Amino acid sequence: MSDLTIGFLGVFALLGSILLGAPIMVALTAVGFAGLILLSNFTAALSILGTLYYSIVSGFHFSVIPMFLLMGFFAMRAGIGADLFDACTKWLGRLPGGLALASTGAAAAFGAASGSSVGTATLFTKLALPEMINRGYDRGFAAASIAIAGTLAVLIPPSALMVVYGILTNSSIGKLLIAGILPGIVFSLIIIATIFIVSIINPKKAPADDRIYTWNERLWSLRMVGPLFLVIAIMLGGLYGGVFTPTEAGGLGALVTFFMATVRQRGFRGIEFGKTLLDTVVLTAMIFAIIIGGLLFARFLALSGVSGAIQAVLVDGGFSVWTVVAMVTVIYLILGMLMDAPSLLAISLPITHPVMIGLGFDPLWFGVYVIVLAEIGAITPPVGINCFVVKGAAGDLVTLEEIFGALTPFIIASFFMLAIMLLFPQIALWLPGLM
Amino acid sequence: MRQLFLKIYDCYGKSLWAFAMVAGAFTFAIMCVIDANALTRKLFNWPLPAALEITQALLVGAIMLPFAFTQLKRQHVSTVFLTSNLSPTTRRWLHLLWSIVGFLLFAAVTYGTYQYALRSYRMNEQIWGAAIQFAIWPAKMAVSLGTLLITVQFLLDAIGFALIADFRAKDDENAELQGNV
Repeated sequence: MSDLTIGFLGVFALLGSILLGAPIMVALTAVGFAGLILLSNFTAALSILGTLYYSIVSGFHFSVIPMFLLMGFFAMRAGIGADLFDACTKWLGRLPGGLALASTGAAAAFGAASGSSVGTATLFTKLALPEMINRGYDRGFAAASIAIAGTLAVLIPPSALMVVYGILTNSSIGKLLIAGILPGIVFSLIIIATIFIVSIINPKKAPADDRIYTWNERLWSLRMVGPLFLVIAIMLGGLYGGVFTPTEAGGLGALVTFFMATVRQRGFRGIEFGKTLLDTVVLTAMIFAIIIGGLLFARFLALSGVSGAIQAVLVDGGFSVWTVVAMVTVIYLILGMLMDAPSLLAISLPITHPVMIGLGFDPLWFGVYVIVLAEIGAITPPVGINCFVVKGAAGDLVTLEEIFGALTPFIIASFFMLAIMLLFPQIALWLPGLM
Repeated sequence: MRQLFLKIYDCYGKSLWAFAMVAGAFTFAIMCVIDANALTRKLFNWPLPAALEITQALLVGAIMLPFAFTQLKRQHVSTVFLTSNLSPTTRRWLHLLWSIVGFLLFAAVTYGTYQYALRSYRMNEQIWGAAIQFAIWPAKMAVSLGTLLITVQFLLDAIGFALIADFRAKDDENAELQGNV
């Protein structure tokens, strides 16, 4: 059997085992390990395993992932989400679709602190959905607006998913984080515009809030969210100006949100300190298990020649650039419907990254593009992880069918975002280019 | 027999929780070291001695020690798109299969990482910080410890799925939602 055949069999074995319910980190590591044994020998494969594990889990720069996760969990415990929603409601509530606009704005800001798509969607379902339904909002539309807003968390920096992409592709983590700023803002604005347009066309879906807030109330609502914006600005400004490394920015963010949570909840017990640390290490272990498996699988693919063969066919095979981009986009949309974002990146990047770089695309741009695709996957049926999360947190307030039924305008908006990224790649490249 | 197994499973789970809590303490310590180093470096031009090396050593524990606890809590993500439509019996056999695969795989990983750590121990490999010097093999052994713990967890899962018909059946409902960033 040729190396190439072994490589392609490995790809099929990976997809098959994942579909049959194998833990994705087991599937990636097992296929990578078995493939390396077949391509070399048991001793060499074992040696690669031994060194790979230690080199990844002792990498100083990779400590940015637990720091971002810790920051996110402290931000959740601090109750910052509720403060953000309160502030956004007072500032945006009287516009058409005001509460949905407020939850999107608050989710975008909270996502910057938490980096967790699922956490943001859960939180804002509990905070905003009951109030939106009480105010006469269409149930499906309200829930769908929260599901899409939750996905902003993984695009707007600091984002752990960006770091995962950076590790898997050996890209600059600092530049990747900066690259996500403008696309994150633009995507937030597109979602806000979508809510606004739907609310104007069909006011029954999202009636305007009739409560009136004074300027004093509005300004007072900013008192608790101000420090959050300040720390995010310091983190991103520090990264941009080269004052902080991404790891230091993550450590600083975790420290500040820790203090905010402790002050807000009046002590360690209020922030469930032990549980917060436990949640952080469990998610850290999950992400690193996938990263290690993904890197092992990537080595196997590179050694078998599959990555090179696919690259040769797509890059030198006469396909137009846009055909390849369309193929890659469709692959991500399909896989994104079936699995979570870190797994999606670990499985796909060994194949798609060399192809896209071979076609002349910038790795930073591709990172942001892939994250946007993963976000679309997170709301698209049949799996649409964020829709399940919203349904789970909402209980009987809304059905899954109502959420999926109301997603169409947001999916169209997401494709509009993809088009913007393809037509104006500078949106992701301009800021990192100035660093 | 069933009761004895469940008791062992429960006890082992508690020890994994303890390892995960140690990892949590390491994570918090990493935050403190990183912040202290950044602040002293920026403010006083005096970086914390061996901050990078200490962070690296702590990071190994922070990542590897909760590996098995994460598996116990079924947070190592898997997709149930296809398997949720299968019968409970078929799902049980698939769980058994993946637990055996996980056990064999991580037994090999443990052997590989242990050999790697053993070499480091035998040559008394040292890490050279800015001001201090310490042995590197404990961190490498921590990798083996983490993989050993998950190997045992997969073994216990395999025994559970083989012996008990409804072993962890409730976990299937939430498997896909867990562990997403």
